[in-house]
Amino acid sequence: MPRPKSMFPCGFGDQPWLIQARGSDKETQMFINPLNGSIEERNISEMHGQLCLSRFEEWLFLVDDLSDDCFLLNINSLTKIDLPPIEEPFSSLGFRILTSSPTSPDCTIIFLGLEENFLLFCHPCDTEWTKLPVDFDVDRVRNMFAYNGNLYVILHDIEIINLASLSTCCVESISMDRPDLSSFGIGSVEHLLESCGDIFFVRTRFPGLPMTTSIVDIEIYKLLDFEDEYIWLRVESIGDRAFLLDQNGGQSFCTQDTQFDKDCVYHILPCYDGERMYKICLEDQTIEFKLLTAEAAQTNSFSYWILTVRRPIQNDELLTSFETIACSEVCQNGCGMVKKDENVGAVYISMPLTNLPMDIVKSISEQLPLKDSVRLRAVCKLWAKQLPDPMKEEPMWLMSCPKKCGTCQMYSPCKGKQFTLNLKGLSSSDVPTRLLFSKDGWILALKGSNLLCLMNPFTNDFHHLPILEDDYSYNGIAFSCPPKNTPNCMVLAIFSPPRGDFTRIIAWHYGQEEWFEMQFDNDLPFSGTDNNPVFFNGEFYCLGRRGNLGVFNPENKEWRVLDKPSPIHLEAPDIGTEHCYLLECDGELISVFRAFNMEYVRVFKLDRSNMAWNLLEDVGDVTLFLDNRTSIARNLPRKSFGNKVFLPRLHDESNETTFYYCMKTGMHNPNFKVFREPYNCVWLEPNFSS
Amino acid sequence: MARSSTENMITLMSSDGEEFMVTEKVARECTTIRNMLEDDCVITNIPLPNVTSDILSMVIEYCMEHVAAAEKAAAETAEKGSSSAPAAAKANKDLEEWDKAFMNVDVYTLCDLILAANYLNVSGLLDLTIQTAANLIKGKSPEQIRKTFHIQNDLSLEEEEKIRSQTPWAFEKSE
Repeated sequence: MPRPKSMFPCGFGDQPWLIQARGSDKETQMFINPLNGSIEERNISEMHGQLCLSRFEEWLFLVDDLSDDCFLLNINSLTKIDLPPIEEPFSSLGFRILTSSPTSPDCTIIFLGLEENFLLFCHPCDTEWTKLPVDFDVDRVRNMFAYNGNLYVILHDIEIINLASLSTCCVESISMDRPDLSSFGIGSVEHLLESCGDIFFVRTRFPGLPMTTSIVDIEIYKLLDFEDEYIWLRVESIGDRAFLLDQNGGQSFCTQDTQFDKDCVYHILPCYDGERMYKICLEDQTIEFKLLTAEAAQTNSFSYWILTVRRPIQNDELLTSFETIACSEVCQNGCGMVKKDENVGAVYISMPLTNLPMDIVKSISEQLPLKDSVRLRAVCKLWAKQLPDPMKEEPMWLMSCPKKCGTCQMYSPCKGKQFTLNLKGLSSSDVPTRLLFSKDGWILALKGSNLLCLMNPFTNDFHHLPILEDDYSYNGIAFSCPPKNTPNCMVLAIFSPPRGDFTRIIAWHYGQEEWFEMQFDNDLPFSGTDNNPVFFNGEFYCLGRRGNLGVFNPENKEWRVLDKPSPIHLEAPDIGTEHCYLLECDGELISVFRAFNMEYVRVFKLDRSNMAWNLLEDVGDVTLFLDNRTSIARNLPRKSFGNKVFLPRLHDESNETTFYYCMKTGMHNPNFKVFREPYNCVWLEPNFSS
Repeated sequence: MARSSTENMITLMSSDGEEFMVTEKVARECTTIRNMLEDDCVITNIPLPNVTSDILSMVIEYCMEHVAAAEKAAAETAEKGSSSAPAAAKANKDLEEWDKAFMNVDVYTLCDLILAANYLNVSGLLDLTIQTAANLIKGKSPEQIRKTFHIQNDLSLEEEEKIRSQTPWAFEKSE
């Protein structure tokens, strides 16, 4: 029987909401509006003392945290379907799923064992749960998903279990490959979900454990069925849809006529500072998050997406706009403009502006946004020849990973502007590419799991490195100099575990056909960070999490952990609470430690005569561009950028100002949290010499 | 601040022979003239062969307005001991409005003013005119820029295509 509307927050039912059942600790349930983060507490008696274990559309699978009684609840109608009592202790149960709405004949509620390899299931009308052995290792399960009468269990492969076969006590299953198995040395969470009859695989990546740090990258694959052969196709856009992910699974949502942004993935994740809702925008390759509840999410009281309205997605329309859209738009625009300008030819009597001295035209050009100053060079011969190419004038870029069609987001922190470049030479294949490091205009990127390459996006130069024997899994990587200075060019990757008892290094010299690998026992503990080494005075310097240094000498291939400078921290700070960076600045080594929330930013300079870190009050006229992939210190011509720290963040709406932190005032501008962060990006100094 | 002893008058002569009598203070707004006066303090008649009378009169108008505004602000500061922020802001805004109205000229005049401001080294006027020219260029396609400034396209199709292909994004429509 429907209850009065006021039981639910205003607007519930019109859009996806987040709901948190909170067990017997709290009287109320939390309804979170994902659009503005507002929280409304409601008291729904059916949900008292319950924890939510799973959900399917408007159906919740609830369990009483004291009596362990469980039932299904329709959050719209508050219809309740009791389930048989569970004999197994809850502590022995792991992943669980409600496969479909109880109105569907194949609706099944399934638990996997936590340590023991079994499966526990019941149907809504059953009188007891059935326990079946499974022949996969439940420890290795990453997630579950159900669709069309099948249960998909994500392991190293994907195990597809026929739900109907469960009742025959003879489990039928087939297995299918998981897309791109590269581990990349960082954590990840994987979801399968259905949208318009297609199955999608979403993998979000973290630099460490998902609980402690933030999302840094995302991959999405669509399942293609070619004559009984399954192929995962990497996609870069999901069109008008949004994917809603939580602890339990994922749902697809049509964003048309709603305030949800299209082509975005909304992902709920518990983090060190509470539960966060990440919004990953696929079109401009950025990530932002909102903190939903500050209290750290307790086990089993996570927020779940509730989709009470099923919005039909127009499949035909979606398919045409799908994936290729970015590519075709760019091409059309490019050609369209050229055609238009063919009808040139009026005779002009006077050319006043071209009579101006060139340095005045240059001054005018400097006042223009980048786009306009590029156009100015296409006005006449004199300007084409004499005006500097503003692309070359820009001292620093923040470059995102190129998409399949070669388009690439470029941000100019100095101008506070965003552009789309077409880097045809970099148009990539189906394997995901990750930007790892940059120096002197060259980028080091990882393609798939074991192929590294060096590239200069401004000259389209490209070098493939020998294939790695194992998957890439390192804390940091760097090269000494661009590959054009061939004898000296060396690439080095380093891994030091948190305990810091050993360090593993692989290195490659330009021209060699193989990597050489070394492992060193550390005399002093050296716990690696996720920032990259710095090639300084002929050696690779690496910063440890405590602020100590390790050095690799490429001449004698020796690794040593320095006893001086003394570490800045006695104990390594918790992963995710502090970010640190090592960089070279005017012939000196500088380390920067900043709180994840910008509460502090500390800059130290290495006093090389005493081998000690000296805290710096400011950095003078220098501008610091910080990121774990590449940090660069530069003395920019524009003095207003001096003494400031830039992070790879963009303003929410206009992109007009890049986020910066002023060393002098200790202020950040504007608010740190309203910024979007491009994912898979790198600071890049342009280098036009090939 | 050093105060000029008397209100010396200086005669500026345009390329077409017209003479303009201005106070030394106004003339000193032009760095080029200030340098001449400092080199030779008895000079009272300065020929400016690069500036026509109509443009020179505009430059003088600009300098007089800005000198008057500065004097007014200095007088207020002296009177009250300190300048009041709202009043100063209002004066600044008034001057900006005046500049804006002053820049309501055709592109030929604008270019001549840029040249004169550059030659006479009137930094405020140079910044103002350059910014005005930039505003006229902003958001326009190369063809629209040519039309606005009456510039003939002497680039071959190949040359133009080459520039476009280097940075195709800059030539896409819309902002």
